[in-house]
Parts: sequence; structure tokens; C-alpha cells
Amino acid sequence: MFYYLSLAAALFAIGLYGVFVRKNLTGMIISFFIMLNALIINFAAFTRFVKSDAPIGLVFIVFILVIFACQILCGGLIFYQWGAPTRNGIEENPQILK
Amino acid sequence: MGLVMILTLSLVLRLKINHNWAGYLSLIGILLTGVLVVITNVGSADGDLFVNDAGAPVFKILFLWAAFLATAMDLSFHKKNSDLTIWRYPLVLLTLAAMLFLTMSGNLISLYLSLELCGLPLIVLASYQIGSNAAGPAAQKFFVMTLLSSLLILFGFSFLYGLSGAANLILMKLQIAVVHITQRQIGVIILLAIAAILSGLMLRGGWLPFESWVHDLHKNWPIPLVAFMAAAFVPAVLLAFAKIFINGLFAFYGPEMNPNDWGRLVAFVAFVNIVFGTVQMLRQKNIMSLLFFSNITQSGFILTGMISMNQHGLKSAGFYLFAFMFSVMGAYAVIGLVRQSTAAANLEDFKGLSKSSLPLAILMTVYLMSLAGLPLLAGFVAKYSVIDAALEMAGSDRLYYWMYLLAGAGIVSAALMFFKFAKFSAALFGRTERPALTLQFPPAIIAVFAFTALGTLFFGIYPDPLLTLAGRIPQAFGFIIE
Repeated sequence: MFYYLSLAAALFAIGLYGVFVRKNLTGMIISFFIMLNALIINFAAFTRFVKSDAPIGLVFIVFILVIFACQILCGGLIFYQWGAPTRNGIEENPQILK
Repeated sequence: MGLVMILTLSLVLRLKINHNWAGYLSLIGILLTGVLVVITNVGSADGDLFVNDAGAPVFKILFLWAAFLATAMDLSFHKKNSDLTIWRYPLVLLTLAAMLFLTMSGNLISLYLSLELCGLPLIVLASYQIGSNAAGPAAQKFFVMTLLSSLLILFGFSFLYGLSGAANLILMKLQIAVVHITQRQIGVIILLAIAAILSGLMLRGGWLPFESWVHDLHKNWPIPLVAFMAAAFVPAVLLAFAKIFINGLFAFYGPEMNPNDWGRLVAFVAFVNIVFGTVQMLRQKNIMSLLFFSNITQSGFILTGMISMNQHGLKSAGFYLFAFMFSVMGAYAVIGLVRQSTAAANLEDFKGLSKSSLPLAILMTVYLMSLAGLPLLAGFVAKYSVIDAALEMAGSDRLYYWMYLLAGAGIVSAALMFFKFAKFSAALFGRTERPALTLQFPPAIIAVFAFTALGTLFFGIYPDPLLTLAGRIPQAFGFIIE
């Protein structure tokens, strides 16, 4: 289990680093997906190794994926409303503003 | 689950109706849900995913009140009927529904789901409901903040699940303690879990040092939404905190668990929020920023009450949430009403408000004084009981000396806040060269003022009913009632 958890922790750290270093939204979202992978590995590993009556970890994974998809979709609304994200945000394409 | 039916029904019904009717429908929906909550009261306490325990109705009433006042405020501020604004009500109702589920969740899965579903409609609102140019980056920030906080919280949850093998909070509470006693090597993991969950919740609540993620949104959002965020969403995050830490990680509170205890860590967070929130607040010139940092300071007070870890602490935190909700809703309503006729943003612009409307200036003074904690107002009882609970905890053992620091910071912060708000309130009655504003008072906003002012004044003079109601919260967290 140690290896799984180490992998997950490393991925999570890489993702977290990416979120803070990246300046544009696309790069941030890619970093979020790396963190998401870390979480899924964590839950899957715990489900496999922890003695439990029900595979709660797998249920958790399903919910995480659904909610995360919804969140990204809601983030898409921001793209739709405000144009493609750029380094300077809104200033570069003011014609999108209503 | 009549609640869900009403919410969905009102959602479907309002697809093709105008703005005002949508608002009235959602007000009716909220009222009906409130009646149902009061009638059904405490239901079965033996669920796995959702537990309707003693504390749930109290928080439900709080969230319903906040949503009701915010909707009434929105209804009175909106004259134009557009496709975008009409979606505000269903989205606020969806957030409210998720909050109601949050009050009952007794499982990591349901807790996570309801916390996320609180955030989702707010992302949509953030992306659509802002008019100014600064809005794009503000919405992007809010989106990134929500995602990051949910991932951090989940990372912590995965470890909690791995350590205990259970997702039920009560089972988790017991099994983590058992694992800690039998195997002494869980130190790093539990510390990682605590740090991840705490930072996730701090991000979500917009507390210091992560305040910049939501600050722009607070300045740009429509005022009813800001009020709803301050008076309902942040309490929801605090409730999630209480459920995870006070209930689930109860065993890891005290300093004897060093270095795996969360008590001092959260106390530090509360201390930072109170001290730096107050310092930032004193520097602000924009009215929305002033209230934003005041809200952060108030969250620090509520955290202080919660981590006092005795039944008075949780009770006072519950009372504080209500008192805060009444005062802050009223203050935002006054600002919103003034903004209907002028683009007032700075503190200077409110000078001489009494010339335009004397009752409005008096009301604003009452709300601000309650936020600062002047005696005979609800805010005073709240602040007094929170600090009293913290002192009680500090006196119980020498190990808890840091609670003295927290209580001291609270007293100093209340004094400084009073100074700032008193100066501003005095300016409201000052002389000004500007012409008087012509303010309109729609019936809905008069109702908002009546409810908030009554709540602030009545519970300041006679707090017993609300204290009795809030006294049910400690019971839900396993504290014995005398």
C-alpha cells in the first residue's frame, strides 16, 4: 500500500504545484485533473487494502467523478460568458462583455 | 422529503414566468419548507447517510431564514426583467437545498456531496450574475478556488476513510481512535488529513490567508447574493467543519495528542482571522470590503466558539450565527437600497445618509453596532457568550492556555471594530453638501428591515428563546446536556 500512497501523494503534490505556478485557467484545470487522479488512486488503494463490509471507496470515486464533471461544466460557463481565459483575463477581449 | 418536491416544483413552474412571480414563488417555497421543518422537527436519528439529529433543525431554520431574507431583498432591488436574473432564484434555492442536506449529513460521502452541491450553483451565479468589467477574473478565481478546495477536502477524506475503513462519521470517530491506540504509526497521515481538510475549508470559506479568492466576487456580485454568501454559505462551511472535526476527529482535539492535534491548529486559524481580519477592516475605504473583512473576523469568533469544545461553546456559536445573520443581512439591505439610487461604493458616499432617510441611518447604525457587539443588541450576547465559553475552556486545564490568547484577541478586536463602526455611524448623521437621495421602499425590503431589526433588537434584550434553540446543537455533537 505504501507504493500506491506514495504515487498518489507525488501526483497530488505535482498537481498542487501546477495550480499555483500556472497562470492560465487551462493549465490550472490540467493540474486539477492530475490531483483528481491522485485522489482516485488513494481511494482505490484504500478500498483494496482496508477491511470493510462495503466498497465505500469505489462509491466515493463514482461521486467524485460525477461532481468533478459538473464543476468543470460550470467552469465552462465562465469560458462561455467571458471568453477564452488569457493571462490578462478579460482585458484582451473586451468585445465579449455585454 | 416534501422539501425537495416543493423546490423542484417551484423550479419547473417558474420557467416561463416573470421575475417578480419567480421571486414570490420561491419565497412561498421557502416558507412552506420552513413550516415543514418546524412541524416535523426531529425525525429518525438512525440513518447512515442522512441523520436528522437534534442540531439539524436549528441549522435548517438558519439557512431558510437567510435564503428568505436574501430572496426578499433581491425581489425588491430588481426592476428590470431579464432572462439572466430570473435564474437567480432557482440557483439560490438549489444552494439552499444542498445546505439543508448538509445539516443532516452524517457520512463523509453525503457531507462531500452536499458541500459540493452548495458550491456548484454559486459557480454558475458567479459566471452569470456579474455586470462589471472586473467580473471575469473574479468568476475565474472563484471557480479555481472551489475546485482546489474540493480536491483538498477530498484528499483529507481519503486518508480518513483509509485509516478508519468507514465513511460514517460516528464509526469513523471510534475506529480512528482505536487505530491510534493499537498502532502508533498513523501520525503523519492524520496530520496530512487534518491539514488538507482544514486548508480546503479555509479556501471554501474565504478565510484569511485565502481571502483574495472571494474578495473580488464580494465587491462585484449583486448585493442579495453577497448577503446570502455571507449569512448562509460561510455558516454552511462552518457546519461542515464542525461535523468533520468536532464530531469525526473528536479524539484528536487535545494537546496530549501532540503533534497530531487539530485544536491548536484551528485556534491559530481563528486567531489569524480575528486579528488580521480586524486590521484589514480598519484600513478599508470601500463599504463592501469593510463588511467583507468584518465577516471574516466574525467567522473567527464563531470558530472560537466551536473549538471551545464544551457545550456552551457550541451553543454560543449557534447563537452567534443567528445574530450575525440578522445584522449582516440588514446592513447589506441598507447598502443595496442606497445603491438603487446612487452608485455609492466608498464610506465617504454614505456621509449624511440621515438627510435622505433618517430611519435608514438609524437602522444601519443598529446593524453595525450589533456586528461590533454593543450591549442590548444581539451581537453583544453572541460575542459575550463566545468569549465566555473560550475562557471556560482555558480555565479547565493549564494545557489550554492558548484559549486565553484567543479570548483576548476577541475582546480587542470587538473594541477596534466598535471604534471603526462608530466612526462610520457618526458620519451617517453628519452634514453633507450632496443633495438628498430619493429612496423608494418596496414592501419586500420593509419586511426585510422589520425582520432583521426585530431579530437584532429582540434577541439582544431577551436572548433566551434563541439560546434554547441553539442549545440543541451541542446535543447533536455528543455533548451531554446538564
